[in-house]
Amino acid sequence: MLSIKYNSPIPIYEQLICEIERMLSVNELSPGDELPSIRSLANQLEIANNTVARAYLELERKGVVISNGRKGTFIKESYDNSDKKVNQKIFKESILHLLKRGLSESDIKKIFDQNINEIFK
Amino acid sequence: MDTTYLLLLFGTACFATWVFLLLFITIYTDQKRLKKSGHPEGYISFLRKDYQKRSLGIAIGVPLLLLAAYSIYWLLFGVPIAYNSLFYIFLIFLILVAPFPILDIKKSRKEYRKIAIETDAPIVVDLKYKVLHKFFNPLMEFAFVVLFLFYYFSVKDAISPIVFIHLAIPWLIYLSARNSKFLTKPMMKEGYYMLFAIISLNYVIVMIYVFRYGIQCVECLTQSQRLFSIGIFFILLVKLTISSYNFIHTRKFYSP
Repeated sequence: MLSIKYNSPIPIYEQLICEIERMLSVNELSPGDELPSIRSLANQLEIANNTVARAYLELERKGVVISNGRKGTFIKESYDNSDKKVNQKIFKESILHLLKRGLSESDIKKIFDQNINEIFK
Repeated sequence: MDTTYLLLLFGTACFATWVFLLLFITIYTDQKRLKKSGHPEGYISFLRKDYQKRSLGIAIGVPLLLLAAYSIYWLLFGVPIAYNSLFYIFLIFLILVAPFPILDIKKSRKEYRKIAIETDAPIVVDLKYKVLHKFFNPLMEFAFVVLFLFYYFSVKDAISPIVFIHLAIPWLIYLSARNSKFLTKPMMKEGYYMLFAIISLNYVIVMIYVFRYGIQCVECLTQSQRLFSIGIFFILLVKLTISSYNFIHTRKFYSP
């Protein structure tokens, strides 16, 4: 079941992305499954079509779903929802995010070590 | 069928509905039960009032609409004389009732949206009605209705057309479930539980009809008609077993 909060500070499209990824990780959705059409999901949640379209586009960019034009949007057959892969992906995305902010390799390592020490102290 | 018998039937049905509703409201709107079911705090008082209002509406509205349906039938065709007349009375009743659930869905949708925004409760959506289709697969149900139509026409006049009311009710409830929005997880869970109970009850009634007919008319049936009756009964039994099994396995979808 996909769950969203209207009053949440997190934008609805981000909530949709997180929920679809969560559903994949708990096997509520599996590779090859068809997602509802943009219009039908927007209608079910009473939100703008663009919000759902944006979430689907972002999921497509992340390689989670594949859009088959008129046929609909599907979970990628090659999508691996094993924890190891997902964790690696999250970690890699965080590093790329920090790189985009202009941090060097050594800076990232430093931040990583600091946080590890702080958390597991 | 004489009018006294019909009135007695009507009175008994009304009394049974009222007793059931009274018990239902008491159990369903119990604060402790609602809390235990995981309803968000802001929803509890709203739901209690909402269920009470709705049940009161049913308790008053249903007998009145049944009387109206009876009157319309009486004006159009005269005093009902056969058991099959009940089918037409129910049909008129369903036509009279139809606008109310539609209005109710629209009204409650607005109220649920308002309370969802006010209380900041998470709203759940059954993606592509995957959970709902686990115990009511529209394709399979449609195939069954078509098969049942063949069965009905092969044994025409022996089985009452009232059976179609019981085949239509699951579809009406299914369509209304597809139209409900802004539900929290406990609300969707309870809604689906109720839906499953009503669907199963109607199929059990259809099974009783088929069984009763089979027993009563065993002599007048040809070999193929007998086999068809047994086949329909077993299809219903298998369908009920499968949907019950699937329904039990949907519990994981409602886990917090």
